[in-house]
Amino acid sequence: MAKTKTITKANKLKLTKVAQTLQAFTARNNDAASNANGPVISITDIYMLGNSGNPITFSLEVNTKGAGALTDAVLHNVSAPDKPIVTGGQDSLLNIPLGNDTDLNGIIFKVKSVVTATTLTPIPVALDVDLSLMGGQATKKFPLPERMFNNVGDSFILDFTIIIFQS
Amino acid sequence: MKKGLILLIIFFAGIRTYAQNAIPDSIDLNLLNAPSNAAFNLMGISTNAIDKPTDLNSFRISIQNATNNFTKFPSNYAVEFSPASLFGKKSQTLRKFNSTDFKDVWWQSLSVSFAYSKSNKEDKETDDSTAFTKLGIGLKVSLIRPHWNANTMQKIDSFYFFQRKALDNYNARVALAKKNFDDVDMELKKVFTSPNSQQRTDSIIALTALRRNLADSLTAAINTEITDSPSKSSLAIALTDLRKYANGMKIERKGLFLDFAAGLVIDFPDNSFNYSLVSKAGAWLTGGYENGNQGFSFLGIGRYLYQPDKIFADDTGKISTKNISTFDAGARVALNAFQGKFSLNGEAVYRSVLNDNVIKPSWRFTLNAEYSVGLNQKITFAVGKNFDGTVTKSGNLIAAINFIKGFGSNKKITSQ
Repeated sequence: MAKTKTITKANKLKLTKVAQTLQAFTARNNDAASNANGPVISITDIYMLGNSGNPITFSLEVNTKGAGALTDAVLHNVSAPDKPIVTGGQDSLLNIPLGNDTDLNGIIFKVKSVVTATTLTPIPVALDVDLSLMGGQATKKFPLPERMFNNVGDSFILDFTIIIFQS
Repeated sequence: MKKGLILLIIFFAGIRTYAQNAIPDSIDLNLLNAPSNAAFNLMGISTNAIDKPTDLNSFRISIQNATNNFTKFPSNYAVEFSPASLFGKKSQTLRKFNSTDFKDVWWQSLSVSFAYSKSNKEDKETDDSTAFTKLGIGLKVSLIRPHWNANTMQKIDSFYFFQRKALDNYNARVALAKKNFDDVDMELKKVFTSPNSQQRTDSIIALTALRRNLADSLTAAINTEITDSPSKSSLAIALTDLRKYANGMKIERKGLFLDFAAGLVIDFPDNSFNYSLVSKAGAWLTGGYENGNQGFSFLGIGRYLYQPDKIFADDTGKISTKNISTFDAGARVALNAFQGKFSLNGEAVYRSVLNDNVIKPSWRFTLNAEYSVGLNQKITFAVGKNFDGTVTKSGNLIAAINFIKGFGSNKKITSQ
């Protein structure tokens, strides 16, 4: 039986402290935050489980013609080593199992991918990559901001962090 | 010695003069090429006048521009697109282009072309009363496509290696900020262990938002490092290396191939949909054995044309092409050696008029040799027998100074 904790007053205070620290950090990087057109794109989002025992899978579909992609995916648990799901996966990854939804509560799913336009890519063309998670409360896609490949060899580094939990 | 040197200079000067004055026009080896797209080939539209949308958005914009924001019909418009790029986006990643499955090959290679123009009977674009609407439709598709050759496979592996380096450098940069993320993750972990409730969900969402802010700030900082100090950022250097490598990555295939192209032009002589006629049509079947940049390659083509601009077998161009169909068949053997620096091509073409016995079928043979002596510098030689029986031969030297350099004697020559 999993040990459960309620949110105490002390925890709330800690949360507030973390929030303040992060806000200060964000303010320090305001100038940097205005640079939204670089090659790195980060997406942080949530995924809710359905407590149905369904297998949870993910797909990373690279839709830009001729683009090559290299992807690492891990299940991150703060107090334990990361569990690799995919290491050096090339191009699109379809229906990769993560585990049953009853086992994934409180897991952070991280996907990092480099997507590069090659000589087979018709330039200029939009970056078109879909990350989706399936098997929980609903299938969910995590859309990327609009970016363009303007030259052969242009790359984008996609950094997805998906917080998976039972609601 | 001096006399010999003078003779040598005269010899090379002679070649150079000859090269400038005698560029061959009847021995080119392009007769066997299928058109890049049949509709444009049949309508005589130049390739730079063609819109090539790469996604649905650019397709919409190109149509919008051609129609002057949807206020009028375009006077001339040509568009070529790949349905796989616009509508079916799957199966188009890098590795998928090495697939030889028919279901991947035909869909990836299918290219459709439309052309709309107002021109007169002579195909000259004009706005006067003699102009009428012409619509061209064409398609090109690969039926059999060979695998990448071993050299290309090696290059593709290296490409992923460069991507690995970029990803490792990114991970190393992100690891510098690990402590900040760990603080949030620890708080998340505490909340995860609490019983399910709305308060718990709200807390997770709030912490996720904080984590997002943190990640966005870090991303912006890394992007700034890459753009502002590319020489100091190891990630920027890795991305530059990847760009350079991807830029020079040439895809070569080895094996049997078969391509099909077809198109037709429909005229609307009174600019009405009620009255139309097919003015031109054509179909090309091209196949053979592709051998990359090394060894022998074989190419064969069958070409059918209905009412072409000119009957190829009729060099004089005097015979009317109305209701005439022609058929060409040809073959080419190419030898590539020295990493593609040397090539030897032999070509034979058979030409006939299918429904007219005035012109007899005829043949043409051509042999062409080419040697690359440097960047954009080639020595070529060609000899052939044309349809009318004349024998042509020609040499062509581009950048004579490099030709001399090839013999290792340029120092002596330039010092005189």
